[in-house]
Amino acid sequence: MLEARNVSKTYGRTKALAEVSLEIAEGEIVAVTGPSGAGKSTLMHCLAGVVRPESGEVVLDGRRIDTLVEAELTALRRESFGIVFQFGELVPELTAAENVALPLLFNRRDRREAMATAAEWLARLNVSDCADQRIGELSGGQRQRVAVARALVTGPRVVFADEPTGSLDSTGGEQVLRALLDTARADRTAVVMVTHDNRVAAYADREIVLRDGAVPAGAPR
Amino acid sequence: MSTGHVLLGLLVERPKHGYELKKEHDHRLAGAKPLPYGQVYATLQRLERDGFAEVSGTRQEGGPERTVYSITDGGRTELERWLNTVEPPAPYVTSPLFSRVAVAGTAADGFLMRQREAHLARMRELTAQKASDVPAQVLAADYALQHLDADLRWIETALARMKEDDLA
Repeated sequence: MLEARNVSKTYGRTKALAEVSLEIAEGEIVAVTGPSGAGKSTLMHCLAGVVRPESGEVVLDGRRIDTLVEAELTALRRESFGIVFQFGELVPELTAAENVALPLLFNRRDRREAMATAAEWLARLNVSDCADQRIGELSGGQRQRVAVARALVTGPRVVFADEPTGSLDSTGGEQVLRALLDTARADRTAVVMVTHDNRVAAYADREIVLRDGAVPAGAPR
Repeated sequence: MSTGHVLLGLLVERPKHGYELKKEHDHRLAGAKPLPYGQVYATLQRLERDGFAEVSGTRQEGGPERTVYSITDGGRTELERWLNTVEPPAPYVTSPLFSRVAVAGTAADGFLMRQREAHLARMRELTAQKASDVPAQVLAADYALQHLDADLRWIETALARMKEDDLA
């Protein structure tokens, strides 16, 4: 469904990715792991259409996305991809419900309809109580749940998550991860999560290990 | 770990027969090797010989008549002592994983990559077990997961050191 074909990317003199090829199936949950500086985030950004590779192709449902013009790419990202950032990256001036509705409003959905859909997603992630609260009033775990709801609200094909839980040492982090993955599994949404934590990776169906910007020979891909 | 002490711990609540003890052992120590019946009875006899447990009657619940054991005062003292004994923290490195790498040196990198995969596959199984939400199973899975994670982090460090040695 989502494919990287010989993708390379260089920052200055640093080769961040060297001819990386991989394929992610519909509904598959994949962990991208490896030491820091191995190219995990760069790979995620290339797959998500945030960064353009220098060479190679990124293909979603048979269509090359790395060659799209910016406007097409933005539209595709809004429609097909959701992103959960490590620190939530929610808009502090807005309420939880407004934050979740935001991607729908960007997609030109009617405001009342968008707010109703947002409310459903907050309920699915057990944070209905927070709907009218501003982000600053929420606990860390509640924020993460709101961020997950926002990533999933458009019914994307793929959700990208960069260190989605921060730390698993609190059981709260684990609950957020389970909420994300259970919901994604139920909706057949693929998840690509970047993590340095093996215990987070163990929640995935499969692991892709990066070393020095490449998938080592013999490693699973 | 001493099976005798675990059985004493299970007898503290109330007198129990061997079959009950086996079932409770396997439930409470989820993730441990199931306790063979033979070992339950042999251990109970040893506890009786040492004065830590005694036969307090028999019980029949539809099946065969079973001997019921209870803990003695001496058994309670012994259990208390065991529960409060600090385990010597890893006096020796006894892992087969470590031994192989120590013998193979930098040639172990291929093995370490395959071992890494095997560890992660087991971690995926344990993570799936946690979805059961049975507290004893979650506790056991957490224990196993964090130990496997420690191995994996050591594997990463070992691979990084081998790479440095190659470059040196």
